[in-house]
Amino acid sequence: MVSRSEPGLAVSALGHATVLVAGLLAFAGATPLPEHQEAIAVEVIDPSALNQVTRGERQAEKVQEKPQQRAERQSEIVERKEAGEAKQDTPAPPSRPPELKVADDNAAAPLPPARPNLPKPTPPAELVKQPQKSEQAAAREEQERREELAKLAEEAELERKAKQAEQEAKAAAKAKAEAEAQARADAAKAAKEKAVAEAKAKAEAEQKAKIAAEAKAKREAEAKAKREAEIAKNFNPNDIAKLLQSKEQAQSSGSSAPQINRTASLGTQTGSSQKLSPSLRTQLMGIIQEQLQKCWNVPIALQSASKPVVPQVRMKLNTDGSLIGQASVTNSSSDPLFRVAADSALTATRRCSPLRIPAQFAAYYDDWRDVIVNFDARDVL
Amino acid sequence: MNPAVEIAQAAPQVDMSFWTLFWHAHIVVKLVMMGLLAASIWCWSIIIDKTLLYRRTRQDMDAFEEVFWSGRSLEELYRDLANRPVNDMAAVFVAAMREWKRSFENGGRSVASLSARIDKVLDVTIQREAERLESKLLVLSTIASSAPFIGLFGTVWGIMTSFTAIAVSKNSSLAVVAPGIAEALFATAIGLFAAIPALMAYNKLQAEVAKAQNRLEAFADEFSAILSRQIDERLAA
Repeated sequence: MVSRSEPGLAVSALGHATVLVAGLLAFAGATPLPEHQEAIAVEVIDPSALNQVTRGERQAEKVQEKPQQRAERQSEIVERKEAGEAKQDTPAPPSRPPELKVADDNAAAPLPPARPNLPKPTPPAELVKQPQKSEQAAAREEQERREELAKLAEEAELERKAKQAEQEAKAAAKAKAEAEAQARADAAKAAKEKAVAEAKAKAEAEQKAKIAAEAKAKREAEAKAKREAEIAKNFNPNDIAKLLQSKEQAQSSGSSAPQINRTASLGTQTGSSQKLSPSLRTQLMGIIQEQLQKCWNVPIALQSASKPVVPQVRMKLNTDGSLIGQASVTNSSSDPLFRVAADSALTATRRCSPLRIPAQFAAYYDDWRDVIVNFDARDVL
Repeated sequence: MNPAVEIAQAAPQVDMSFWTLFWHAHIVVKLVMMGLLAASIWCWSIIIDKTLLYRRTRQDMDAFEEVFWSGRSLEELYRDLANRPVNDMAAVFVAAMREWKRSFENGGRSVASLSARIDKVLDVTIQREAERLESKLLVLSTIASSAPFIGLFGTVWGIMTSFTAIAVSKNSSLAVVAPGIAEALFATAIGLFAAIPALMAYNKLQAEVAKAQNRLEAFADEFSAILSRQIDERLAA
């Protein structure tokens, strides 16, 4: 069939055979991919190693044999904080009391004794501020003047009273003197006694006036001191500066744990501190939740609620699983059902106490002494 | 033998030559591959044949046109060519001249519609020649369009087998799956290997055929014009 004019088939077959042979030789075997190498070496930490890592601190000096978390204070709840400075809010300075403006001015000036309810004089600044209200200002001025007059009159009256007392004493003395003159004619032998009596009376009157004046001064001084004390109590401008530039020594908030441990640990080489692994924790939470749900009477309304209402209850437990104090609800919701659900959950915690915690968890008491449990009605149904 | 076990055993060795790929494939995939290889051989044989044929045709046409326009007597040329088998342009010339001769042999009685007859003869001859040139080109077109699908069929079948093997062995590691898929993909590769040259050659050869046909028609028109002038002159004489 091979002809000279149509050599196609022979040539084609030959060509294909050549290509196949070439392919067999060229692609004799697949070249394996180059070994994959990580650009950065990553050490694989298996879960158990991760669970046993104890948090170290950078400032610690050496690796400890038996690592323990640092704790400055002893407390029920384990708190992990950096040992650095405490960050605390500086309290805002007290606001200036409104009556202080006038009180400060009046503190120096003596107060009239018998008038505790002194109407406030309007500050002139206000008058300047409102010149257009001249009529009102005039009226106020008038009133002020009237008040001043009244004050003066009162003062005058007080003075007059004091004088009257003196005058009375004088009048009494005069009357006595008159009587004495009359009596002189009657009896000359009693003249010496009379003179003594006169002097006595005069002295008495003088003393009376003196006491009155002293009492007045004392009252004034007392009122002033009281006023000043009040102002000092309310406000002291020096305090503002003091509050703003608090020179308090920085405090360490520090960590807290059931046991105090003052040495910082740099982590550990063979670290295996007593810590609940995630799987154990889940298991324990499951045990606790299961017990609580058996004690929980789910309110009917909660069972049919369209929106889930899940109170979170925080329980502090003793080593034997009994409740320390009362459980508390940590979250809140505006849902009217929430109150009911929370109450029923708290009842459940009381009813279930003491919880049966398996012995294997006893070593991890630190981890479950303070637990938060979700009371989800959907888990119960 | 369980195909899964076979694949699992095949996995460790990294012998991935063409022969291994072919030999480990499923029988259906094997058939597909062999068919595609045969198609490729066939299509290349056509390509080679046709390319040679067209070159020869072009050369023949060039040579004939040179002789035709050289001023030689048509009778003489006809006598030269009539005795041996001829192709393309020469065949057209011989067919027209034969018709002419026959018309004048028996006393020139059938000259009236000679021109129309010659045109008919020319057309038929051109058609025959074009058919000769065009033959088997359709095979190329068919291979070009169907080979990828056939290869894909092989691939799908091979992958299907691979997945069945995974299901049986319950092991989906890449080392188990990879050989089967590589074998399956080999079928598509062969399909494309056959289809791509076929498609390109088909387009090229089709254009060549069209060109040759145009050239033949142009020659036929010119020759027909010459003959009809001759006829008119003889009728007038």
